[in-house]
Amino acid sequence: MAFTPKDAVLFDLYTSLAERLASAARSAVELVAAPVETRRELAKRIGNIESEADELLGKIVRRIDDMFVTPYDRGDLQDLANSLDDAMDAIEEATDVAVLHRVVDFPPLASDLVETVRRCAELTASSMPRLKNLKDLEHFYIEVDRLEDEGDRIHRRITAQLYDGSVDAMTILRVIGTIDQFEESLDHMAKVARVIRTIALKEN
Amino acid sequence: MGDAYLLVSIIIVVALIFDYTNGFHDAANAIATSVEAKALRPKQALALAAIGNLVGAFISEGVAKTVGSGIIDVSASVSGLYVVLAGVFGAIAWNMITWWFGIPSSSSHALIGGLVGAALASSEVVHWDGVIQKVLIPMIISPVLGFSLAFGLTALLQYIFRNAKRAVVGRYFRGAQICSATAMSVGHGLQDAQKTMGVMTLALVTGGFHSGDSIPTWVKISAALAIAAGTYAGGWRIMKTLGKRMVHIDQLRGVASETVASSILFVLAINFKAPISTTHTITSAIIGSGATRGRKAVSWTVVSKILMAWVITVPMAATSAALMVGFIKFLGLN
Repeated sequence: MAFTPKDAVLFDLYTSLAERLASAARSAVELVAAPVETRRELAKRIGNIESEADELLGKIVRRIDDMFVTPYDRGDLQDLANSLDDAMDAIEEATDVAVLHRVVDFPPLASDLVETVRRCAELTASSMPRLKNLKDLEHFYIEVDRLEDEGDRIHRRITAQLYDGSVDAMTILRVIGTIDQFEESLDHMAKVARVIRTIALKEN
Repeated sequence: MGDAYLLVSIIIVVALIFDYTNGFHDAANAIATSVEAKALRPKQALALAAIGNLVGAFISEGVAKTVGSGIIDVSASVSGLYVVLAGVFGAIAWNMITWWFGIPSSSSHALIGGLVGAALASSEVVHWDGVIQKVLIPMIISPVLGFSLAFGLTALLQYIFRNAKRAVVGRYFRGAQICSATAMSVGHGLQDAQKTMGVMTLALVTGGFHSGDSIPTWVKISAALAIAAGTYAGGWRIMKTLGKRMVHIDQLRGVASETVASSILFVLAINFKAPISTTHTITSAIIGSGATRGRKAVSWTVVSKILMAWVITVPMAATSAALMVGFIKFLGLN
């Protein structure tokens, strides 16, 4: 029962941005599973999605800046958009680096890690329409938190396997950039959930 | 006569100090939001607040007359002066206690409570009609009005400006903020300087230095200067801590809450001659304005603190003043 007007266009922009994130994550899953020669094409696709996301971010920032009456705290809205964009950038960097560094074989657990990223991104995209009413988001907070923890554990196991002495240093260096960025994208999605939670705490 | 002269001087000095500290404490109420929104620089805001206090102090005499002659009637004598002294010191003592223990209070309510308590303890006349109509009822009504009017005005402004561009409207709202902050400062002077004038006049009449319920010009000038000086001196210190403690309030809400609060201060002072708490009025308006966001946006702790302050301040300040009367009797002074 709030009396502050809610701008529909702004909420649609957030949902679109989160959907781009999910779509980039799905392509990242494909890329990790794909043979080396098709990876360049997939990385290019993710690069395009990232450019679209940048445009959306620009629209969101301008719209928040233009609005005199914002639905929620101006700073929180800004943080939310930035965190979504950070998550996107991390996925894009992970895949671009994989191609640039000419990674041949990903460690076996890399597919688990990128799968976690995809689940988290899809959950974020499907929850974003609820930013408008801030209802039924409990599951989203808990699940993102859980996925981030899971991603951390997988990341640690991957590095442990890489450092166990059987992999040569050059291979480790090639692959670690990608692995780290996937893990990073989960951290940014956790930040997204935290910001939404902060907004929900202040409102309603 | 010598005794009376000394006692009147003490009361006047103490009342002016009370006034100064009031400005010192409350300076931030009026100007914080406009400084935060960068409508004014801190120095400009403080100067504006001090001038607003000064102007407000000269607008009307209603509140001063209520405090000076509408609450209690004491015999014009040295013992009468001890009653006034006990009332003022009782209020100050209660203010110190609440300040020390961090209990929210209102100096205005404490002052009235102190005067009533001292009068009761020394069997002087208390104008219960005046206390109920001009103090107790407005004390309850003003925060309720502050909350609901600020809620309504905020919802209305948000609706009107729902599609407005910040680059266009923001400029006008900065102007509006300067106006509403000035109105708040004038309202603050109007309400709080007059309370001091009332006490000073009460002391002068009781001591036989003045008669009738008019307020001497020098009393007005000194009370106005004391609160303005307090505002100017205290604003700096308060503005530093304010950024951390108060909730962030946007331009629209700043304008809405200050417009409502200053209107209430004006109407109650000028039309109803009622001394009300400036802090409670602006606080309740800010809460009402924030409540348009929803139930969780309201700080219920602050609400309960205000409610508690309503209930306990007057009786506790009265008790404290009654103890002062007992202490003066014990010393054999009256």
